[in-house]
Amino acid sequence: MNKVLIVDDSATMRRIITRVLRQAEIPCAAIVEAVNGIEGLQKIASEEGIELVLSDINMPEMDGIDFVRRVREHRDKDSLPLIMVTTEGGEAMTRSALEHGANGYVTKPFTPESIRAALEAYLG
Amino acid sequence: MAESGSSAGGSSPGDGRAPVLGNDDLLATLQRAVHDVFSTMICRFERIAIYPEGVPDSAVRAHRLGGREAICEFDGAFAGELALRCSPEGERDIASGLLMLADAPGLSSEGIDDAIRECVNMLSGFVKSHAFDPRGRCTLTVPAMADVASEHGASAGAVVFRLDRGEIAIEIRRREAKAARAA
Repeated sequence: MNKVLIVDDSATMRRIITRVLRQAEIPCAAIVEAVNGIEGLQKIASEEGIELVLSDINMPEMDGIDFVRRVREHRDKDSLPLIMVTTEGGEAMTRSALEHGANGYVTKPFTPESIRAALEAYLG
Repeated sequence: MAESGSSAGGSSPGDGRAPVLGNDDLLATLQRAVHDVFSTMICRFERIAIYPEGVPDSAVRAHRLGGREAICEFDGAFAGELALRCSPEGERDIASGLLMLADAPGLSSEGIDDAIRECVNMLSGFVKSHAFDPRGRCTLTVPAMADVASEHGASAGAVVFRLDRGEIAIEIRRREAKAARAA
């Protein structure tokens, strides 16, 4: 895998996810970070080689649901794997994320095993 | 240190709305949240006290809790907030646990604050998903640090935990009438 984009307003969580990807032996050349959905859209538009996106839902400026919807509006990004990594584990929020185009869902707190299981289908 | 299980119970409004969640249920869910979050991602913990009416000033001093807290606010099926308050060592326990650093060396105060906010975010998300979402639509704010206010919503209770080196207090408050903290 080339690049993974992590979208989360918490620097702590971005570090944790980076570490967990390594612990789960998820191969990727580089990690790209964004602090909210707006920056996430900018990174997707400007960075070549992003092959997977992990995004929080509860973020300022633009939340994860809106971010997913905006990503899917771009026809050339409709196949970009997009996994939500969030505290919002309720059925309604999960359903909303999937309906707007997310491919999967991981609830915080998480283990390396749960991250790997969610990403298994997208590992090259 | 006080420990008591008696507190306000739940009730049904009788007008078709979901039953109001009682304080006992809230505190039970809160403790399950701590178990889930801390055992998965942070550090060992031990419950050492329950304060049904919030942490009194005497206990704040005894537990060495700081003057700031991380808060997430709920609205909808439950209106209120969840607050996490730490002793200085408790803050470092959380930050070093989440980041898997020995004693979080070189971590800035902003870095520690960010870890505390993420911790309260995960605790609040668990409580929302398990206690509030089944009762109706509920929203959750992004976490924020704030000075502990002299007055805030009515406390549904607080639970204090000992971590590796420090202590933390987690409290759920209802956004009903403002009430001064117990002396």
